[in-house]
Amino acid sequence: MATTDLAGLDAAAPRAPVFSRSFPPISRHMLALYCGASGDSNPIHVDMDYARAAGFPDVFAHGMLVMAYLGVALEEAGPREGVRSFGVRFVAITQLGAAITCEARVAEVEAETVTLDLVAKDEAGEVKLQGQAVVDRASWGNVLGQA
Amino acid sequence: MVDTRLIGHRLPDVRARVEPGRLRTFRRTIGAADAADPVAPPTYLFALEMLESDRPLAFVEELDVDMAAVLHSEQAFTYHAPIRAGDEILLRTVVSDVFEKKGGALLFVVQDTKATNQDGRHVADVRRTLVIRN
Repeated sequence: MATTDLAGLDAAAPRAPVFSRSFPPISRHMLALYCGASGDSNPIHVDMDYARAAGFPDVFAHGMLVMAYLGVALEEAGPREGVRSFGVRFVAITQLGAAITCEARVAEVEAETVTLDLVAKDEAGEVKLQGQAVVDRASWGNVLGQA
Repeated sequence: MVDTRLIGHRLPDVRARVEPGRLRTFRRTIGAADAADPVAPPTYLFALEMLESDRPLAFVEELDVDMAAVLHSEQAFTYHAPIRAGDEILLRTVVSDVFEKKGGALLFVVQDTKATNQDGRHVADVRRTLVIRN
């Protein structure tokens, strides 16, 4: 296939993502819904006056909302019983209106497990969350293809 | 100075029933394909603690810092068994580390939670790292 040939020509070409999943732009309404659904009542995510008093220009998304998006993408991609661990670092604040795309790429293949590099970025490509998931190689084998 | 006396501090235990309706609402809100799926999604334990605690923000309040200065730095889950609607989960949290960066401008607090279910089975470990802007 042409794509395979192209990849063969350029050893530095990034591997195709294991998944790439986009979510709708994050609205104030979504932050209010997530506040209720998650029990995270920190006013900094829903009360503009509070956020401004704390030195922020406006409310901003819960980091855990964006991590939940990554979780949705993981659940959709492969068998969840094969997910051993899932961790992220919150790299930058996710602003209102951000349209998040979650991606995973194979980072490391071991005898029993595969480590995926995870990233959540906004529509401008700015990285918001960066992390890893370790999945069982046996149950995720079909998802990961040649890995 | 870093107040290392926090290390080893235990937060109040949280006993949380995984309410089917709340689980469904959470799944629907985050855009999961099947909102009726009875298994908790990967980040649900973080929410469960706040949803079912008498003091949802105890993990910040017990640090005795200004909540507006606290940001989430890192979050990790290690899974041992599924968590399902109807389960009764016990969450035990201890402050496992406190350290500073940038000459004390940033204070990091690491909290480790062990989650066990109604059968005493160890279902997950959760690590939350908070950063406080001094």
